[in-house]
Amino acid sequence: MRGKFAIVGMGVTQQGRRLGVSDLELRRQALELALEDASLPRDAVDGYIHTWMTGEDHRYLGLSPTFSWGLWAGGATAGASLAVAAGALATGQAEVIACVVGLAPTSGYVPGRAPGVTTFGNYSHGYAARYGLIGAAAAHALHARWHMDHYDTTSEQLGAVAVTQRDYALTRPGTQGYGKPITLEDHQNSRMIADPLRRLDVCQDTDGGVALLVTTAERAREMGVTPIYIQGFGSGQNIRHWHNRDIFGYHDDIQPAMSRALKLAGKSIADMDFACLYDPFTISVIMQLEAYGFCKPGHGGPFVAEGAMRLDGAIPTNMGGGQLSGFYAAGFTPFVEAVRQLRGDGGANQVASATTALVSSHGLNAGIQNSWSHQTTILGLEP
Amino acid sequence: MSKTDIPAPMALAPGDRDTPFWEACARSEFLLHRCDICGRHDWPASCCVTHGAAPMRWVPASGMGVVDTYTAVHHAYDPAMADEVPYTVAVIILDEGPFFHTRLLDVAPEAVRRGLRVELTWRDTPQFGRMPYFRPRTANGPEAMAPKG
Repeated sequence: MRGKFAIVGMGVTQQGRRLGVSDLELRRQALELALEDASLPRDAVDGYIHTWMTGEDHRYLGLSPTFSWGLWAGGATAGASLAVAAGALATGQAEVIACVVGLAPTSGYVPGRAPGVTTFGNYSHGYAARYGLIGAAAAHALHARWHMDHYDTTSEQLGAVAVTQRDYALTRPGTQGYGKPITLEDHQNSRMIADPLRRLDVCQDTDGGVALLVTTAERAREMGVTPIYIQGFGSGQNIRHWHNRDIFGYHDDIQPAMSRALKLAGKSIADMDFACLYDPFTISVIMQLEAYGFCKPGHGGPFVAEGAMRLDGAIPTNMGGGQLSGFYAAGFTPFVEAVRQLRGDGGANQVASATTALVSSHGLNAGIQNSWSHQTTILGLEP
Repeated sequence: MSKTDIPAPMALAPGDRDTPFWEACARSEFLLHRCDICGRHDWPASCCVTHGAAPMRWVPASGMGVVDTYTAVHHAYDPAMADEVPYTVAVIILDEGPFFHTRLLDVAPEAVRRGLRVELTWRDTPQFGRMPYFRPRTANGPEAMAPKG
């Protein structure tokens, strides 16, 4: 499939806390920005994949697609939507598919829930909430503690992820960390949420919309844009490691996802010029860098502390600040940065001569904490 | 914007497959779900990954295990637990094999490590009745384990 499908338009709205704009309006804005970016008319969109499950977008967005599918794999939905789009394009179901997210949780808009009502995000089953295991930070802390006890990873090494990504965000307008530096000392002094995760190990919800327009390579070449080719993708589900009873050593089941993605792309990990990793928490970056083989298992902590994620490091990572210091767009954040980098729009954080990107997605448990979905996507400038 | 926290869905639904487990807890009995064919134990009520749901039975368990991972929760997500923070939530690997999410008692958060050997202890809670908790192993062993006779 390599070289057959490409991203030809990207729309990114304002991303921030309490924007006071509805999720529906954010999707409309994102779509219009993407159409403008691709110089496509509205009626070119004949397939619509929406991150979430409501179906009322089309009147509001003025679209008449042949299909409209809600897709929900939590934070893994962005990657999953490109995989579904590729399947639909491959079988001739559509020519231009919009993969869209627009969420406004910090302004009180959550689909399926009355405005202003929040929940704990219980991550159901196992009755863990009865014991006070509530929310995503505590669930990811279980991975972090496992890693720290097993490999002697330190809080300062987690902090290196936070500081590196904040340093990137400093020069990136529109991010939550823009112009707001943090030091390792700030990280160490930040409030403990769920040990070992401190406030600065944790990303915050933001409001915002993103739309990616995906089409066939033939159509992309006719359009006169710079196609960002979808070279490969693959999936993994960590429930396998729940059943195997070794789940806490695995921050997702990355092996099957990456091996399928690399095979489709005809590439190896050494071919990746940079990585855009789903980063709800600092530990997520460290464990993914290990699982993808950028460093040895257990060496992720020293690896990031030695500067591996920086522009001159072994694998520049999350140059847009990621979710930790950039914005949280339900898994579209790493795709936004990957497309910007491949287009050469990375500004002060541009990776030189970047042609191939590794993008990861993570989310939606399979009935027990820590059993998340994972998507690997490989994007590139070459077909 | 007014923000109304609603409780996590912690209550047991009528007819829930885990009902026998919690009813046994009220009698200080600690059960696991086991496949009659291969003997694999699970928790919560599960579908054997090899033999499906039909051969699963509730059986008495040892109440012994080791800590696989843990976190000391400092942020009071649930206002009802605000005066308990920081408290230690752990995932135990029970001697029978399955993971069990629980609260650790009688040990300071900083003294907990992976591999800590723990045993069951019961606590009566206002919200959920008698609940299985865990503590570092004692000379006495786990409290009131298998049903007698």
